[in-house]
Amino acid sequence: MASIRMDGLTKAYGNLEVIHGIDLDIEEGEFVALVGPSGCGKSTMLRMIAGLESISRGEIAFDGEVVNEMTPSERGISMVFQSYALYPHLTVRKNLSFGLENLRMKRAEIDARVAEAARMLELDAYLDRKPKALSGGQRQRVAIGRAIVRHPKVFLFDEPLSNLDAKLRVQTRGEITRLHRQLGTTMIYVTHDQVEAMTMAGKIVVLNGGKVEQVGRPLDLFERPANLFVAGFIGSPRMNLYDGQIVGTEGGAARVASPETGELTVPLGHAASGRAVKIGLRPSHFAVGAEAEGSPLMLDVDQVESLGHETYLHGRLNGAETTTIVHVQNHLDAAPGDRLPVRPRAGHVHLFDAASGQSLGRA
Amino acid sequence: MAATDDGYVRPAREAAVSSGDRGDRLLEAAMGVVEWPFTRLQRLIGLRRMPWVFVLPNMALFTIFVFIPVLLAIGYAFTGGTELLLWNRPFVGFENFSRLLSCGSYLDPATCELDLFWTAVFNTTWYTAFNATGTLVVSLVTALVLNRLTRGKAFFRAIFFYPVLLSPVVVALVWKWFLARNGLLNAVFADMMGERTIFLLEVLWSRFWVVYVSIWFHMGFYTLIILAGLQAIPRDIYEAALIDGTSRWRQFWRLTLPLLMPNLLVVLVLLLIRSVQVFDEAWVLTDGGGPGTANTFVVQFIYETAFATDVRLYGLASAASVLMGLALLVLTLVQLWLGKKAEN
Repeated sequence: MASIRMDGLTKAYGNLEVIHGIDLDIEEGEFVALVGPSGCGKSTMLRMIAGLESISRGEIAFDGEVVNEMTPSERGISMVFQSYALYPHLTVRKNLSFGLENLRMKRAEIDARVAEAARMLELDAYLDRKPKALSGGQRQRVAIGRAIVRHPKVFLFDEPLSNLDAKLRVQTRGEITRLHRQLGTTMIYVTHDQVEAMTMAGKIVVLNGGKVEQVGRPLDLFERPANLFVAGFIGSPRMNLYDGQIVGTEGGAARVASPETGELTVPLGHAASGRAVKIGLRPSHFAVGAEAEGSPLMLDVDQVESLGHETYLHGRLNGAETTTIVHVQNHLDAAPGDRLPVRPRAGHVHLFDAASGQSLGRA
Repeated sequence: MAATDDGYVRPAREAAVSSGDRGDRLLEAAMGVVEWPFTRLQRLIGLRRMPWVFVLPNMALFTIFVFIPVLLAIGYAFTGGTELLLWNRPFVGFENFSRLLSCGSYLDPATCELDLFWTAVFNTTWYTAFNATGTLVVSLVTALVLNRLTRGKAFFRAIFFYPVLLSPVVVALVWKWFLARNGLLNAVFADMMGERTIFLLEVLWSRFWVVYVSIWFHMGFYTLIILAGLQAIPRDIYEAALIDGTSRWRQFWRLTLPLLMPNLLVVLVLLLIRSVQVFDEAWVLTDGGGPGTANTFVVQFIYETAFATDVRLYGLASAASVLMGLALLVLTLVQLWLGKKAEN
């Protein structure tokens, strides 16, 4: 187990800088997800932590000790690759023991560790098979097993679930979380899938264009996104965003208006009238139908996605052009062409500065 | 692809057309011209018989130039005399084979009835051993180095491959000039060595150069096969090995070499077959197998017995060919068997 500190971590290929001075602290035993769209630098960052990619500027320290110049094996990390990177010509047993043999560990100790990992991951039956005789999920478990046997200080996962089918992905998600509880090792997990990050991590780092957009607990990011990028990235379906304006302030409250939402009053201390804003409303933060009786806001329904236990309505608010998605718990009898009253739930209206994209608060 | 009612399988060419690219349209037009007769033919004979139409041209050439000659050679091997046409030649059973194989001691060619054949067999054996091993090692090392280059990989690959494009006779003549008494090598090293060495007239030197020239000539081809194998090994396996703390040496022996084995096996099979068949470049380089019979190989013996002497012993030459073919067959089978075993 180790804590990790990154100070001004920078990666540049020639003149092209892809990671722009990242500062980040990861506590001992924490499960951290690095999440962001393709090309945001999350995998590069993970590979820098692993020692597979050199560090252009800045520092990475494990437990206070700078590891910039250490080889991957000296850092005491284990890594699970997206492609699994199993040794194709070796049996599962050999795949698991290969790294331990490099350490000139005693045979008995190697066997014990392999047996332990095999039991933990239910690989006992496959120990003498080669990777090509295994299913995707089994290969994935071997890759995790190979990481476990080293008893690493830090586990690194590089999009480990992206080659699995949906059902297996959910299952493996659970297995990795269980593993983290069981081992208590620091884990860093790279994914582009915000659902994986939300369900597994204790802390999420949202990256975009080689910079950190926000660091926080999953629910914090959902409820208090620091800027438009995080607001749009975290949460599925994504937050509805409307161009609006502050039309007036009274006491500690501001009145904001947009063609879609009409006028809303939100508690906001410091806002100049006339300021351009983005108004954010999550699909799940609407009251619909009978619940919203009397609301002046009407949704023209264009499309209904009914999943039985929940319903998604795609439509237009107040006759505006922008598509709005509304999420309703349970089944809702609605059809395209319907006109339903909706009301944004109090306390769930997000405001962002239109120019900078930074959050002005939530009300 | 979509099958229509008549069972004709139509290629999906809509995509090519819609891209509107000029090259694509040209290709499309060309395909149309080629396609039409095949479409008609397929309607006529049915889809199931079409594969035969496609393999027929090659099968015909193969039959005329390989299959029938092989059968003829086997036939000639059991006949005697000097007549050219098979039906004019007397059947002699295994006489040619027994002449080839009759030896006082198989370890001493001088005790054999056809001592030149056995000298050639011995020469071919050592040549094969040195040439196959040498080329394999040199190609492997070259491929490993090329694979590590970050810059100029294509350039050096082309450089090493270039000799393969030359004619064997040209290669032999160039090297002959290089190695001659008044050649470049002697000119450069004359002062250093004090005297001029006539490389191709000394038994050991000439054998060394025959193998050396062959390695120089052919290594580019094998390097390419091995390089392709190296590039097919996923990079992330080496990254996993790095994280596992694997030394370079162990990476080579435990990862690279086993993963390269299928390619190395192909290279080895090709090398052995080609080494046993050595003839043209060595023949020109050594002026017909000299000095003496130091570089006389089996194919040269076959060629000279059948075509280059006054008494043309087609039967004996054919019998030697058949024996060589059998030896190659055994070698190949053993290697395929080893390959299968390694795979499991």
